Amino acid sequence: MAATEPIGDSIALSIQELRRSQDQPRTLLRIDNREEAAAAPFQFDTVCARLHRRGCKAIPRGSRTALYGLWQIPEQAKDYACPVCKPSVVDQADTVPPRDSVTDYVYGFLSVLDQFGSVIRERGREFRESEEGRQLRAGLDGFYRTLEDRERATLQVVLSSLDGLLTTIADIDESFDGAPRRNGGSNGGARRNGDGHP
Amino acid sequence: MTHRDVRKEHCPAASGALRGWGCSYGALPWQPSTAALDEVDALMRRYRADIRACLEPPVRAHYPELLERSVEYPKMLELSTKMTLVGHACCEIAGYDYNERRRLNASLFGACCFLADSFIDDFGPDATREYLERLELLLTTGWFDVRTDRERLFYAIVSRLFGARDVLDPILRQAILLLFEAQKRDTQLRLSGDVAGLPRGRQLRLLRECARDRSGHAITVLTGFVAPEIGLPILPHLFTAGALIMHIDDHGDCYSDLRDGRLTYLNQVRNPQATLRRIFTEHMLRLRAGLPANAGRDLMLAFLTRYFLTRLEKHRLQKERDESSWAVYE
Repeated sequence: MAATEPIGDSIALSIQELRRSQDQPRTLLRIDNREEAAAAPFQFDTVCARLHRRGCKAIPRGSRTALYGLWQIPEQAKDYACPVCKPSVVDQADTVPPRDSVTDYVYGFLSVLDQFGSVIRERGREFRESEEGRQLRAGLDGFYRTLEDRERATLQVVLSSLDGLLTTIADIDESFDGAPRRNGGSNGGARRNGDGHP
Repeated sequence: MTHRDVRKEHCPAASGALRGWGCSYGALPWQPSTAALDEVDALMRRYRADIRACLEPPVRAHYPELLERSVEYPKMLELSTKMTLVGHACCEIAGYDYNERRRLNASLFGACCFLADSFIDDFGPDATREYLERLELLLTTGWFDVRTDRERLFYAIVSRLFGARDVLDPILRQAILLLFEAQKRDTQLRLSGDVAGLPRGRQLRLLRECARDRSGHAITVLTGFVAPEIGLPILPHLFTAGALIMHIDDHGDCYSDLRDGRLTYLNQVRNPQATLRRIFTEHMLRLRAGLPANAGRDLMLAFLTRYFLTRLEKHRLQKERDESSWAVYE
């Protein structure tokens, strides 16, 4: 690690390095939502400022590379409704906005831990014993000492809550899958963050 | 107030505000105020200094060699400065204050675009194809196999950006993918050489749409990184502003693009200056009428005017000197 490299950069780059140890790495983060966007019930043409139903014949050919999929019609978008296909709020009744829920993030975090747990632990041990690790620890100790009693108590509650949450979710996850998974052992198994969920 | 009075009031060319810019502006139905143009200049100066302070640490940490490059590094800072200013306008158009964190995101996005463009443009056709595949893998799986210091810097910046915003916001992720698709189409068109064999009308339409999409989607991604939410009504106007920036850019780079064998709409039309002037007028009027009347709109229109004039000048200089100069915005 370069002397001035921020810890966030190091973590992000280290995660990318971990991929080399995987034969079939699972998805880490899927930005790509092209399929879901194309299947959305409404399409907003940014060239002509026009809201269409999916597949409307009035969508100009030149606008096809500038369409945004919408799952619901925002209040302000009604003024832009295509006079041919006449999209309406009735059509959106059964559609679900493709927002990832908080649990998706937690599952995503867990899947990274699950996939790379042993390597991360090993690197953590190495890092703790390195000069950078010692500096980080000194920094964190210093930070902790500067906290007031009330702030320390709040931090403890947050940390123990997070720990409890992760333990609970891990238990539930294991009970769904039937058996505890080993590092990288569930490739292609249960749906993970970014796989199958928009 | 008569129509003539209105034109005089809003016409910096007439009031002397454009004096010294090296190009005459010509008669247009509306132009930004002198104060708005002055603000663009002041912000540009301020952001140039900020950006150096923002980008130098990550460059030094991951790719210090770039600091030694006397042309490339300043170019990156200049692109980032432009992005930071456009990001300022977009953020206020979207209805949000442009605070320090949002400015940082815009600056990082500028550096990210510069490095991604360099991967696609600067290392030959095979590398271009491979980079497109690797960027697609990054967007579909999150994995990016870092092989060089330049890539290390790129990924560090990408990860900071992805960590700074809810990158899974449905509109932002679509904008990112639309931008990627536009870059891919443009590159494939260039590498295949297919466009040269098309009938002229179809060729021009394709080139125009490519230019429109590349920058139209880029400005939407930029807005997504600086504003917590992009309201649907402003989306087409951001797209229009982005498209205009690309056409202005392509006109400024006309001779260097032709030298590199790169076809663009503006270097293929018969009378590029008149065509750009028409596009500029149409787009500016549409933006003036469609954008919410706020400081962001005024800043955007002033920047576009400024940019239009400087790139006309760049085009003229390239024609005279037959040498490429890069984009300094004053």
